[in-house]
Amino acid sequence: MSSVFKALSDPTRRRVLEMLRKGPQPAGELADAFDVSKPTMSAHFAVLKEAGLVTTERKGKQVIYHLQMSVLEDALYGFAKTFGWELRDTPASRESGPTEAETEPS
Amino acid sequence: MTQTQDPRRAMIAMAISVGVLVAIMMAFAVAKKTGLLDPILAKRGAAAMIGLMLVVSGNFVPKLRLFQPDGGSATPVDRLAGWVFVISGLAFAAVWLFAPLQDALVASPMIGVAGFLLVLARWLGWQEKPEHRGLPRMTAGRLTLAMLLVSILWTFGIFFADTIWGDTVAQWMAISFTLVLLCLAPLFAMKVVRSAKG
Repeated sequence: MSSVFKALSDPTRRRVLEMLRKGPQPAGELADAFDVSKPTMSAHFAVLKEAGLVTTERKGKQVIYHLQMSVLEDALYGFAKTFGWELRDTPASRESGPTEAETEPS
Repeated sequence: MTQTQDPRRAMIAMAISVGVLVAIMMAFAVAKKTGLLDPILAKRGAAAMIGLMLVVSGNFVPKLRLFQPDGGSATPVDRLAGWVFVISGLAFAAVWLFAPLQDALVASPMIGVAGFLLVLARWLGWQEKPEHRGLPRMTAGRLTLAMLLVSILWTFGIFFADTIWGDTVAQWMAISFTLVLLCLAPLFAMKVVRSAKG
């Protein structure tokens, strides 16, 4: 559950989820909607996938992202969106990028 | 499509939640039989657990995409069904915890069945478009969830029967459903094993 809280605590990731509510989208199109580097965006996707909020499907060279949220996760997402809830106010989160721990290669 | 795979973590969470609720229901039954708990209090507690079972099932409907025919993302029906089941399950449990017993016996199954009818109406409406038609491909997770929801709906029927015709009819309904489930169990097990093998 902590991975879900972590995933929802970032505004960029919440915007990705908002975009996916309209339907599945390729990773490239999602990344183009944000003014951040590709590795940063990949780290955001990895956090969302780790939390089980999204799932991927490969179509040729494209990776398509699908939303995969339970009702509880949906409610937490709505709460986080409404109250602008963030896990902690670090310089990294202010720039809307993943924290250092999230970008570290595993 | 890769989406026909069940999310493993969600399946484990669902199994644990349902297991805990069933254990609590059994504990209420034992407490009633042994006289540890007032029979009415035990009945209220066990019935509230049925409501929570609907909450748990509803929570996982969009995650397992119960109404998605082609294995894609959760449909609007999945999202609505999830919320409707969660809200009606909470209302069902609240009625059993706080309303007078006679009112709870009548009102609680009405709340539950109303939720199911709302979901059915939305699903039928959504299926009017040709591209949405077709039954969902049954993975082990979806089958488990569907069976859980059917069992809960049947339980609401038993509540109605208990109120209208009395205890005997309700008991026969419970026995017949258990027999049907026992007959279906081998088929269900085969489906789970096949699904696990990939």
